[in-house]
Amino acid sequence: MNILEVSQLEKVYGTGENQVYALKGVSFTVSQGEFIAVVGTSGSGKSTLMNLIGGLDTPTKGSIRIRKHDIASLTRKELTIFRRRNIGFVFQNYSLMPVLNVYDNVALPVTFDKGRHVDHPFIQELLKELGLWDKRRKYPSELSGGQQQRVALARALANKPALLLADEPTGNLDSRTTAEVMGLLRMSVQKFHQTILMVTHNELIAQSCDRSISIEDGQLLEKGGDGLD
Amino acid sequence: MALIKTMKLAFSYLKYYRKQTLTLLLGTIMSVALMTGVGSLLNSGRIADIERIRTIYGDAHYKFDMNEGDFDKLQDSLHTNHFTVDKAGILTVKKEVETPYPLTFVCADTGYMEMFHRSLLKGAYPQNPGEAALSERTIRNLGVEKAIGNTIVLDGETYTLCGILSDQWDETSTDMKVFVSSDTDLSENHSFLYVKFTENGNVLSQATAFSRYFHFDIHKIERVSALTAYVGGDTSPSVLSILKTALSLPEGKLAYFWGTLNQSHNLTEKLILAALGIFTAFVIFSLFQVSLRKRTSQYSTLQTLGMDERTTFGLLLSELYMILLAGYPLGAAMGNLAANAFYSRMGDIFVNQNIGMTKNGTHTADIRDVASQIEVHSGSFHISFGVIIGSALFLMLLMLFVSLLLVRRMRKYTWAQMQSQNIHAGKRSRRIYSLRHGNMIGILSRKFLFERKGTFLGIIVSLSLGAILFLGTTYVIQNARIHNALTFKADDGLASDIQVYEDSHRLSDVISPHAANALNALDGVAFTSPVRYTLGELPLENGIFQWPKFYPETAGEEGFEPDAAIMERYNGTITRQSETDYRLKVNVYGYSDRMLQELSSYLLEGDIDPQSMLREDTVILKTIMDGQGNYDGITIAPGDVIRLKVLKDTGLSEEALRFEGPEDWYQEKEFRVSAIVSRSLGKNDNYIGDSHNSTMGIIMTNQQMAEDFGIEGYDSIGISLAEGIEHDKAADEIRAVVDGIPNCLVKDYTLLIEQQENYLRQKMFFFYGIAVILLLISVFHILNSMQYLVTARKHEFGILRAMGITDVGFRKLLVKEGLCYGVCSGFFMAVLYGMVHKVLYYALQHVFLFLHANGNLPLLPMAGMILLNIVICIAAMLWAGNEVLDGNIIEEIAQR
Repeated sequence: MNILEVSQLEKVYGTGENQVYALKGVSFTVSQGEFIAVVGTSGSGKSTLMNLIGGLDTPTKGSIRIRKHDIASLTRKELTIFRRRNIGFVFQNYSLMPVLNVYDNVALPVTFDKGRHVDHPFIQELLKELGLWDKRRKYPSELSGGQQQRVALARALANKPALLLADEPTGNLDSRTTAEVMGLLRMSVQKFHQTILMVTHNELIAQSCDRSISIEDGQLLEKGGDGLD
Repeated sequence: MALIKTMKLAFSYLKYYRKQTLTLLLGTIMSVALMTGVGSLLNSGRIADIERIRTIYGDAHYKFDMNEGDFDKLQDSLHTNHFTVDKAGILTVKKEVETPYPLTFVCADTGYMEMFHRSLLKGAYPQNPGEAALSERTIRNLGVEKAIGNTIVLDGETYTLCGILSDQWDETSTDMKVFVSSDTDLSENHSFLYVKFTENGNVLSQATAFSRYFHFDIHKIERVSALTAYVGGDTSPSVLSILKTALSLPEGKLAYFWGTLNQSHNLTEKLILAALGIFTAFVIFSLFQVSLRKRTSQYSTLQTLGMDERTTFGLLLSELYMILLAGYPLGAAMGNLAANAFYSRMGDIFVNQNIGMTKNGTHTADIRDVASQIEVHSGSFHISFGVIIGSALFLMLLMLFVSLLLVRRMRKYTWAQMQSQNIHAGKRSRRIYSLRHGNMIGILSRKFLFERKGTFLGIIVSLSLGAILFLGTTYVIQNARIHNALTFKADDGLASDIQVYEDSHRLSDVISPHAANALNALDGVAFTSPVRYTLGELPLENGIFQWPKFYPETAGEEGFEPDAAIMERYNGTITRQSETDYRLKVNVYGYSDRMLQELSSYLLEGDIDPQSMLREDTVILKTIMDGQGNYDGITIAPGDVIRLKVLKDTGLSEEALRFEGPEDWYQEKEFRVSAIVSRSLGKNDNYIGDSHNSTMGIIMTNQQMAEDFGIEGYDSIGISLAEGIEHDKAADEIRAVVDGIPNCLVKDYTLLIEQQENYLRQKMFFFYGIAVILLLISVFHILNSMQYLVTARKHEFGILRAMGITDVGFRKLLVKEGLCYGVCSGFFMAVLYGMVHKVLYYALQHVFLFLHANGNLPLLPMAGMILLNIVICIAAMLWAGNEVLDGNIIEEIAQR
């Protein structure tokens, strides 16, 4: 089953002579449980692609369908709610709330949904799986980079999203911690049947994924694997 | 070189953070404008005071008794290295006469005449014995014809009126001068030298040097008028000695300290400027701190690159000084321009209205003379360079301190902490909130608020400061308005438009009930307030009189002498009978019901009800007040019984008013006191005077005066004119009714009332204006602080938005924070204002001696200010929040 369908996606910045195509004619699909790497050089448009899929930015042309919902047709409020229920984010700079401890950081996005109870056993399980249970009362500033990224991952998974978008999640980490985080991402795919789209410029890391999508100058370079058109 | 580099870097920062720079610049401009503008207004008022004193009391600083020193070489020695005499004049007293009028025969030189503004209006100055020159007022008081060449008999001698002089401002009934020629030979020949020193130098040290030079005993120098104090000619006690004396007092320590400092060192003016200075300091500190927090990480980068603390300090200071350099002249110019415009329209309110008010025109039937003479002249606007320079220095020092403080604060954090702007203080709660709370937005806003307690408190303090100043100002204004209105009626006697009164020392001189009825029946008269009067004596026995040092008669202190005329005519205001028993002269008044009702505004204790006063034959006691606003000098309370002694027959000789005659001259009656008041209305100044603080009064109904003492005639009648009537016609009709009544005069207060009301209106307008400006600066400051609080957390807000917080949810979060800031600052403001209020109330009561200062907290304005703070905080948060919502989530997340 396709979780994500991207069709003829285009993103243009600026107008007239200053017009720059960040993405042009990008189309692909992602099935449930896939772990895909989006690779490309700096400025190739991979982060723009992630932001568009995540609903953090709006495309100039084309469509993005997540679980059969065209996110371009959603209102601002609908998109926000859709995002929090269906998409999890892991950023390169971890982006944790510095005023909350580990546990509350992980539970936070769930509490935005009024009337929805926080699945504490699930959070507990997540934290234990990610090796953070002992650190649940710690604040982000008291954790190492790898630990912070693990918290970010736990937070992204807490809502059981349809799609997890990770933008260079290991960009700030050393090789040992990178391997650790990659192992956890892989584990979430296996254990929670999670779909992950991960941006990286590291070919080695990309190779550890199910497949990879290469972007250069805003266009897909090659297509491969079952999921690609 | 390093300095230039630092300044260049500072300038780059200012340019880069344009919005913060503009905010700080605007805050500086507004605060400086307020401070220097108010400073110049006060300075202009002070200069106008000096000019007013010069006009009223003359130019001279000191008076020297020429018999005491060696003034032979005077003409040759008006200038030495130690003193410069600007003007000098000699007045020679030739004779002093007490009866039938107090007259002083004098001879004065041109220097004296110039200094005291005694110009010759007609004729010539006396050249020969037998010639005399008089002022217009003296001519009027003596009842002689105002014609040159006319002969007049003074103290048994005949003089020819050779000149008519202009009136001296402070000339009173007891100081009428008859100018005679220098060779007129009378009983005395006592000369006094009046000197005005140059005001460029210290006047007191010049006077000291002058005394030494002419072998004059320095302790015998006399100050001529209040002018001397204004030009530094007073020996003000030091602050330390005032403090010492205050501490030695059994009570009223603060009142004495404040009151004395106020007199000698203009404490109130300085406090106003200090309050504005502190407010400015808070605003600038808070604005700069806000601006600086945005770039803590950059400073850490610079420090990582090797910038030392001194350079960081230099960088901060350079930024602040650059803003000061740009903002100060602009602020000072704007403040002074606005102040100039204000002063040209309403400058009168800054001039001390009390100067010259002691002259009550006792012998002047036409109050228009008084009104025009005491008309306040604000003069021209004078920029206070002292305040401008002082404020600049203050701000420079403040900025130095702020920079130091911020550098010290940075020292507390590691570079890494600064880099990540992850600066936390104190212990953190390890509680997991999501286990118990479904709503983490509330928890988040609380966490955001209280994460940095110091910062939170700082913002709360600065948010509440404006409101406290606003509330304090409005509290003082409200009470000043009540006080002014009350003293206006009681002390200035302006309770009615026109007053007819007996200007006589004989109790038998009265306005008949028939005339009173005729006045009441006049078309233009709305109502009349007739007052019956007699002089009485009240025994104060068994120690109920607590302040023997209050009256000169009982104090027995050198230099604190009783009034000679009152001693002579009435045997003094008070006489001591034994260690604990005294007899006090009192004014006994009979009031109309309407006046008794009006007296309620001055009530200290008890109740005022004309009907029960009449029914139960009770009286109201107008008590005495000390210099610190205490009324407990005579321990008589409502319910106590007093025994009042008055004359049996008002036709008795003046001797009877000494209350030493045979018993059958007097009648005594006991009354129960129903109320104690602080002031009397419709006063009679002719006998023992009616000072608002030292004269005791017994007030009853007019009917009681008739029934108890047989007094039917009226001493004065206050007349209130009907709306829209022809004023001059009504005044003429009133004059016609009283024409022919012996010693009955008509005073038309309309002009004075108008003058006073206009003055009060303008004064209120000014102070409310200042309060509103303070509030505006405060609002501006709140808006800036709130905006910072939001924009500084764009990163966190970006994360929340990415994780799916809706716009409504985000706004709720901001509303909660705004509400919390508003409520906390409101609570803090209420607590702090409560303390300020106590101090203000004490000062109004005991230092400024306000009548009926209201001690209640102004709950409604306080609630209003709390509400306003809440609304402003929420609105500012939402306004700043819109910027976040309009921004790109990715960019916000990238901001750190």
